[in-house]
Amino acid sequence: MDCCKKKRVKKVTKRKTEKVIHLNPDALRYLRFKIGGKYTAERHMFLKKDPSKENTLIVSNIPAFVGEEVVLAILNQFAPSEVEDSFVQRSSASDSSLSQGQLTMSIAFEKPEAVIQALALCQDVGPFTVTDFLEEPEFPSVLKDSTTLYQKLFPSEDQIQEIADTYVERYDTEQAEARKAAKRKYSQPDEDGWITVTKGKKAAKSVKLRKEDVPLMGGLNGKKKKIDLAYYTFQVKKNRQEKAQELLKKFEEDRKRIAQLKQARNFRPA
Amino acid sequence: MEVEDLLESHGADVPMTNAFKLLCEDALPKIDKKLHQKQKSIAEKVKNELNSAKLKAKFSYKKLDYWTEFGIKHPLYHLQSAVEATTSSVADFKWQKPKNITILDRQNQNQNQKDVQIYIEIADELFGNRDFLNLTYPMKRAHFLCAVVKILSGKFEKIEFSAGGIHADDAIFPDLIVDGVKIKVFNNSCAKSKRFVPTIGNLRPATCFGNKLFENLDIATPRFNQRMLWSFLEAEIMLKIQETLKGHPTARLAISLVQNLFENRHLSIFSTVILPARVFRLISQGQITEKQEILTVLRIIFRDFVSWSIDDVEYVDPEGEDLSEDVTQEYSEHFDVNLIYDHLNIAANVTRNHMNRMKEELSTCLPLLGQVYTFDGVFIEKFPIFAQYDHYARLQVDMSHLKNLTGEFAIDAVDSSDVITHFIRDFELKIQKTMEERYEFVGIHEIEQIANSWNTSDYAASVELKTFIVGFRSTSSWKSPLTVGPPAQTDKAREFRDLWKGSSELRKFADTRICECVVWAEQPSDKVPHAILQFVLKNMYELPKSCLSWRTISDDVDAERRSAEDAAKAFAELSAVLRGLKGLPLMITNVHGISGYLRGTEPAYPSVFAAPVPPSCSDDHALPEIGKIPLFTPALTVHIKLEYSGRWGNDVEAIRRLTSSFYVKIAERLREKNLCAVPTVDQLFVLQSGIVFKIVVVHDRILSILEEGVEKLKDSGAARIESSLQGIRLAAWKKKFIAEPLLQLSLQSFSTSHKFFGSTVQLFKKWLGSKLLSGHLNDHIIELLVVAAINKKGSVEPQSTWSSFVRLLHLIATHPWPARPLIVDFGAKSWNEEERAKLEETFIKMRPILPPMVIIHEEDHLGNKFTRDHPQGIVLNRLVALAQEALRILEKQTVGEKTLDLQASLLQENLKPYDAVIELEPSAVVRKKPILERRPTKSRKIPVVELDPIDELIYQLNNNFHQVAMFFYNKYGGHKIGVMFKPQEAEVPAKISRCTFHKSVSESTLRLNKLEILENIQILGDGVVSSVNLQKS
Repeated sequence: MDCCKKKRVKKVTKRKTEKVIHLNPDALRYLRFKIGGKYTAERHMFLKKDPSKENTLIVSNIPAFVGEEVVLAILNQFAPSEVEDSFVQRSSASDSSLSQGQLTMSIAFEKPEAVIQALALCQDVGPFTVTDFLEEPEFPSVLKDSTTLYQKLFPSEDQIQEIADTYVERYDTEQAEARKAAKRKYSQPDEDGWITVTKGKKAAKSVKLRKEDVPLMGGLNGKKKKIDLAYYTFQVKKNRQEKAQELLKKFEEDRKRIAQLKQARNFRPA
Repeated sequence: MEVEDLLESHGADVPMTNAFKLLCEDALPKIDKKLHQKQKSIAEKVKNELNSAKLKAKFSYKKLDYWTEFGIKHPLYHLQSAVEATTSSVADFKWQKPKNITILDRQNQNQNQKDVQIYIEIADELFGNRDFLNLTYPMKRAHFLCAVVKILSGKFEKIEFSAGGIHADDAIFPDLIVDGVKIKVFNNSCAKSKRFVPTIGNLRPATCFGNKLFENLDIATPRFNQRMLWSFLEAEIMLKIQETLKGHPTARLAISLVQNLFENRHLSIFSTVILPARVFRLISQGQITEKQEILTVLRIIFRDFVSWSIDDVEYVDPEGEDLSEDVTQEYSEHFDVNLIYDHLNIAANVTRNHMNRMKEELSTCLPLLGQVYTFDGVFIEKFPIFAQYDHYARLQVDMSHLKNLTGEFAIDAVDSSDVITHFIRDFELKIQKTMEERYEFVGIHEIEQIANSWNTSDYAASVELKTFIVGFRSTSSWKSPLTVGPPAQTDKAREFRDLWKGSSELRKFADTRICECVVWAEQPSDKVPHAILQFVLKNMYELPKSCLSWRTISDDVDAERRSAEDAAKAFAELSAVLRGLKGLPLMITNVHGISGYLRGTEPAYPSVFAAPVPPSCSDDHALPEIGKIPLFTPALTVHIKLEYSGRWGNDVEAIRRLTSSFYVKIAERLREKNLCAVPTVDQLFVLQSGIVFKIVVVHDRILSILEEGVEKLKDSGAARIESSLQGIRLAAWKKKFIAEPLLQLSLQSFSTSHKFFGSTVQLFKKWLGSKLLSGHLNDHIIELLVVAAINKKGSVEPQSTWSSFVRLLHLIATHPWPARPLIVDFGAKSWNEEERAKLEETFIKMRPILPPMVIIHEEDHLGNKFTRDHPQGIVLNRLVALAQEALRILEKQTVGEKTLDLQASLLQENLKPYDAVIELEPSAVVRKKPILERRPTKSRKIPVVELDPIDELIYQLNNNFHQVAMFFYNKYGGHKIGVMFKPQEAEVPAKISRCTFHKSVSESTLRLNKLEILENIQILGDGVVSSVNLQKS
């Protein structure tokens, strides 16, 4: 989408508003504006002081199609002050594209007072009209975007081939260079005079075995060693108990499972 | 599986587990002990009252209005004229102390019926020695009932008459219900049971229907005989069964479970008497013993029912006396199924069709016995009647229509209700004769049944009109345009001609046979069976056409099927061309078509064929012009794989670039074969037989590169690999190029083995669209749901779009989504019990982080791959509610008086619930049903493909406004989009993090700025959206 590129902003004569008020510097303030033309709904941009930087103002709820420049131009209308830096922090769009959704901007002024001034005055001015600040008020739309995107999808065959060739050529040279550099590393001393030495051959990979395969490896005749597990009577007794415990546990598990199934059966949504 | 295989497959049986036993024992509701105790004491009280009663009443038994002065109406009052024609050696009725009163405590046997019953044997003195003739016995029996009412009235809360008989639907032999306890009266001294063999007539038709028709006729009355016999022998047989079952708790439990199964599947004809009798028989034969496990007993019962041969005459009590050969012959001539006790055939009303359906249902369930997770599907879930069959008709029979046929059907009948029943029985036989090859079984069910019980002060309702639904389970020749008869010039041919009233003709077939044929249409059509039924009613019974109306949706699937066939044909051709391409650096080894169009699951709106290219286009492919919306052309995705090469490199981007030059090379070769091919960076478009295909090369090498990346990351000790860039890329690649294609392959093979899969998915998609839910369910999920509905364990597979769709709606509406995952089994390889337990266990553990809808299949063992983002809980709830509503509409369509315009009622859009509505420009709605069918173009240019501005708009709307609103649209031709604002966003605290699309109303509160949102939508949708309107303030 093309709306990220800088918009040409008209110069609008400044309106003078001067008023001194006391306000809570952490409060959320708003600035009224509208798009203009047939779009007349009143909208609010929200302004807040950046708590971590005292000369920075955060402006939120800016439609992406309005653009940064227009916001700066509007601010300049009632709080003229030198802007040190400004950038779009984020967008509310779910794909985080800065050309969609509502944007949040961060504007750093040279002086911290400018922030206070902007916050103090913003609610009393406006509503500003966005189209007043644009020379060619034209906004992107889904139809235009998809049409241009579709057109871009079809480069000519020569172009495809060319792009592929140049990329692959570059990739090949990069690979060749990397190989050369590696070779050099092994044969020529580096800046410190060292040569990297490696083992010539890689060792064979160790074979990973699953648990059940292991006993087969030992005896070729396939006989398993018989181990008398229960030698003492207490062991026999213990084994029996354990077996019973296990059965009981399994039964309990079954019961739980059935209870869950039964519960699910009773559940009737809506 | 064939029945024989089923019966012999002992080896594959699931072993008995504790879990299954617990399930069986838990499945039935606990007995209400208090209620049972109360019923017992009521029964005792009734017994005492009757034993000590003194009633001064003596009058002629023909006087049916005697009881009126006491506020009691004789239940057979409407048969006064029939009574006049009877005679008896005992002409007076008077109160006599009952000969015997037996209380039968049927505890724990049949949950749906009253637990305690009283059998009263009337004193012999009240009956003469020829009272079994005509209606004397029923009249006197009813008088006795009235006397009991008189004695008991005032002493109990509620006393009412109820229809008696073996299926509790016979008003000529009524019973009494006293505070929930059923009282049945009888006396069997007036005749020996052999008096009631089928060839003897005990009811002269002239008695009931006047003399004119049947003067001096003595006709056999097999059905009336059986009704009399049931009254005579019920107490004996029930007591005997009860006595035997007392010592067999497992058998009792099994009976309850199977009774549940029969009731749920509308096979109640088997459940009350026949099932206990069969179990009694199995116990007597020693097949069921006390020590057997429930699973074994269930299997024995199932096998017994499945192998029950209708050609044999079987006996309830194997130790009892068998009938002589002649009599056996008589029984098998008169009844379809014979299960004899004494001379009573308890299966007299069971027809061949009942048996076929019962066997089909049970053999579907038999292999599932013992499994824990299919238990509900077998024993608990109830299916609506309109989901049982594939095709439906509604039949209304009025006595006035049957006037000319009374001579035929009034034999063996007492009143109009019986006449209609006989007619239906005959109609079923005619259906069998005329269209046997088209269906597996037919079921005729009565709807709007008259109340089975009525007040003692009311007359019993007389029946002049009955309504039935006729349901068919169809076979592949359902639509056949011909009814082929026997070879010409034979005796059978003459019979065939007579049956079809001369409308048959001779036809010569390819194998030189010359046969009698009835020709219904030129092409196979759904209308043929309808026409046959109409023919039968009109020409064989002279009934008006209006009494039968066809209720299944006439699925217009021909066009749909044709486009799927065209697509599949074009794909096969393209696939052959691709595999045979020569001169490429690497050969093409695999070609997989993975588009819904190929298996007919995507509605071809407007068409599967490419749109015409405007003449102004000079290139080999058209591009959209700014401001103009081109016609929609779908592109069918084809995945190809190349032979192995080690020279692709180790960089994903390098492979991508190399592949793009490969596309150029393939395009060049294809052009040599006279195909139009246009390569782009990531795919190649080819026009084959008028259909555009999108060819994508799939590299296994990319998978290993991505895996290496993830491995490196793991080795470096990074945590949370899943959320890292490498992890996400690998997962996305695997989903798109492994899981999805594999799933598509499974779906593809499912669609070839299940004829109605494609059309059901299309109907479901259109239905979802009309409910503005397109896009809220992933396309794969839509198809998986249909697979789950068609392949549901424990149900007979549906054979029409209608039944598949009803099952699908039923599944959506009844599946407990929050509590259980839906496990979809394609049938080829299914999970065993342990694996399923594991899957369910994982589900329960992970439930809090799983999405609302969890669908597990072979490619996704967690069940969230395609439902992670959609549908949201609120949408799922809506979907469930809409499915329930649609089921109600379909029920109305099946049983209701008038046929509905399904298109209008089922697929109707409703925009009322939405906060705002976006109206679309008509030209932007490109994916709608075409007025004229598009033909394959001859032009050799590729039009603009896959460009649907509405899809793009919806994507951007969700992208922009996902925080504050939800959007609902119909992908298939909807002209409006519904907008719902999220209620939690209406007013929020004044915070910068929550201010998006809000405006300030006070220092501490922000309100949703709806006008701003609507304006943004309009700006975004310029050229696509015509207006945006708020519906509610």
